[in-house]
Amino acid sequence: MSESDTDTLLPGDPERRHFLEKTTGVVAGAGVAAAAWPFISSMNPSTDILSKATVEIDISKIEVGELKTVEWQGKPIFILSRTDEQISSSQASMGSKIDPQADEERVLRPEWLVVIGLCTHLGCVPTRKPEGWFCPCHGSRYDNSGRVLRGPAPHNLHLLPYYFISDEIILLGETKEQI
Amino acid sequence: MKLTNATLILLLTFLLAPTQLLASEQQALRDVEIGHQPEEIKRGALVALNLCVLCHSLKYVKYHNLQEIGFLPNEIEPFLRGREMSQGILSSTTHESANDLFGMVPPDLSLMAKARQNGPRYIYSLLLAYHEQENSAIENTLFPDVKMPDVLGYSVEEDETMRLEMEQMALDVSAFLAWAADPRAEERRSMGKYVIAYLVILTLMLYLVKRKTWARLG
Amino acid sequence: MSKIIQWIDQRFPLTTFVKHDLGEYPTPRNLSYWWNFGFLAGFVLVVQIISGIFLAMHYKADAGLAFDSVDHIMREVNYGWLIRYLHSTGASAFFAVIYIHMARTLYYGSYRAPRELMWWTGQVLLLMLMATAFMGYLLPWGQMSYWGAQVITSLFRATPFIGDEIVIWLRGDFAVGDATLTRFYALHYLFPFLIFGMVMIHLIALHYVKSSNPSGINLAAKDNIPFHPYFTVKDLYGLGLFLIIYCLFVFFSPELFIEPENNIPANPMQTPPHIVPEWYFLPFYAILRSVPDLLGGVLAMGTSVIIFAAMPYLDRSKIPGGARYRPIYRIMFYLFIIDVAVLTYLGAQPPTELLTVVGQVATFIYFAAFVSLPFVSKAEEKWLRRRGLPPAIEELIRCEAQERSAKSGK
Repeated sequence: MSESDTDTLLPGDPERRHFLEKTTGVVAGAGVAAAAWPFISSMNPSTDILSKATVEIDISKIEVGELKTVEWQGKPIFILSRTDEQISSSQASMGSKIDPQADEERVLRPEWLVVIGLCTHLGCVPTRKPEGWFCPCHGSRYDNSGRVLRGPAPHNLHLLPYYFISDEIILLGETKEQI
Repeated sequence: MKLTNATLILLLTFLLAPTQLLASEQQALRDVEIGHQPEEIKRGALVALNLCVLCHSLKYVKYHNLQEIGFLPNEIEPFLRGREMSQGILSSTTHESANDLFGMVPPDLSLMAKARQNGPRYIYSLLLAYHEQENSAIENTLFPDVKMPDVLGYSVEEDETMRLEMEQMALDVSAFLAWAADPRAEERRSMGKYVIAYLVILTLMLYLVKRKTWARLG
Repeated sequence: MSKIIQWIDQRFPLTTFVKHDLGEYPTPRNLSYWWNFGFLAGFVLVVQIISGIFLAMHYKADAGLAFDSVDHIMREVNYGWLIRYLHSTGASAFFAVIYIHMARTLYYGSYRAPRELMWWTGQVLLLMLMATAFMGYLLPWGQMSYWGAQVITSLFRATPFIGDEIVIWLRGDFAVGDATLTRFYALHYLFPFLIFGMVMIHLIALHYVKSSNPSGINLAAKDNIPFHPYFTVKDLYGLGLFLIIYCLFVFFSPELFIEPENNIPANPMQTPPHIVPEWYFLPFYAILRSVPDLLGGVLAMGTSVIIFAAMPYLDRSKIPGGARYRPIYRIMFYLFIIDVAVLTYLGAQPPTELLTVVGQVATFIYFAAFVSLPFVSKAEEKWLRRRGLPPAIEELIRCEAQERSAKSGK
């Protein structure tokens, strides 16, 4: 039975007749879309993982000039207690042409550098050198502000939200304003 | 009408399931309504953390989960005893010493309210089922073999106000354990109302479309 | 768009398929709502596969981790409780829908020629569904999961000569253990896809022989209407009703389908006081328990499921329309349904002397219904023909004959 047959068979306005079908289709479609959400959402981190999204780190035991690597959200975090010399040399430059940035924009307190310890090229963990870091995978170099000096890395070592709870403890994963 | 028949049968077949429930012995549980109010649950949590947790664990309930029932982080801290907020609630007694005391490890309470028929009511009734016998031994009439002593002291308490207070404690603990076993129940029920409302509207619309479509056939 | 479809059509019969099997597929216009349940079963299968895959993303098939991982799904995975309750309630919904689908087939005699293969593929689907449900039930690794699997795998001890070896082989361990759990998980993930394939065969057979209908005879072309839009919208309306009932259980009473004991982790050292299978296995479990001998019990239980396959041969009446036009068959049908209900009830009870006797009587009636059917159906046909069939059915048979002769005339 074709569409034209039914149109002649039915009294009334065909426009109005289709209105009901179309609305039902839209309502049903919205329901299907809404039903998909719980399934999509279930693939996001579960609440136990989210509860570990922040970590408190005791920094009182870190000697000046020492690097401590801690885990946060499954990633290595470099916490470097910088010497006065490292601070002044970092503040003196803007890094390299690749990704110039002032040291002040990269630290909350000049004596502490906190960055994600993954090379911005392909995600290897750079090794510590006196003048900064060196990535063993493709030879990228970073200074003591975590800024890239030599490629192939395209960016400085990434920053993460953190704040000082006290002089001894920092909290990784949140900035102070969020609380 | 054929349709009502089909729906009815579907419903009935589905309802055959509870025959299993009928099968289990109906114990003499106290007739009581277990609350869902946050304040009852929180009161019950305090009783549980101060009393039950001395022997029992609640390992699937994590300390930070208590925030969902109105605890503030600094209210939880006294109960942590060196553990992290993201860890499950463990008992103060080690398994070994519990074994020495009772000859068994007291069961974990996280799912207890779902692990018994009418769980919350069962817990409430159990806590108040202790009676002093003539030889002054204390017996639990609901679960005679229970190793747990009469923690509330209900069996020997004579003061009526105190007894009422204990009944309230038992009620609060049951409310808390019901939440602990099924913390998503509120979310589930409130979401369910919207889902059912939506489905009723959609089905009504589908019925109208169906009726219109079939009207073409005359 | 039309160009893409044209391109595909030259290589794959897409348009033809859609037109032939979805759009214009001729369907008897007199189908009642009882004919909705096949579609519903297909829908539940899809729900089970989707929710199952998402559960599998969080579930851990390890005896030490399984119970905890299910609890993790319930408490910590976003909407994990919803997905799990959809799945656990879905299992019961699947059986409810399938049993109604089967009851409709029995009532209207839809299993008769030329639809024997539909009935038999359906029978295979039932067996596969039962196996899938049984294996899936072990996965939460609760007390009832564990002891259910222990008891059911023990039934294979009844195998002559190599019983014990078979049981150990099935479990991969001397008792149900981690090895059993892992293999049940692997197979529980596989089986739904085999079921899906079998459903396709079931549907190909359906589209070849076409739907049966309440009259019990093939209807002339004038009484067939295109599947779309008439039955698409009718099926969707039925689906809406089904979803309301299903969601009422999922959101307001999901624990109804989970034994309290199963919220206690599996303990190989302690059997729960009372082991009950899921409601959809209860009648067969009652039959198993009614036979005092292990091998006899297992055989009786197996037969009670498989015996349905013999229906096309056991029912020897040529009167169309199943129970509709056959008073004696109708009485038998309802007695059988009541008998199954009694067995379901008995399967959930702790065995007592009285109930065992009742169970044996019910088991006897169950099989007697099948065994007596050839004689009863033949006698009933003779009686009906002597008495004269109701005018409505005579008219139908005449129509059928006309259609046949018209066809052979071509």
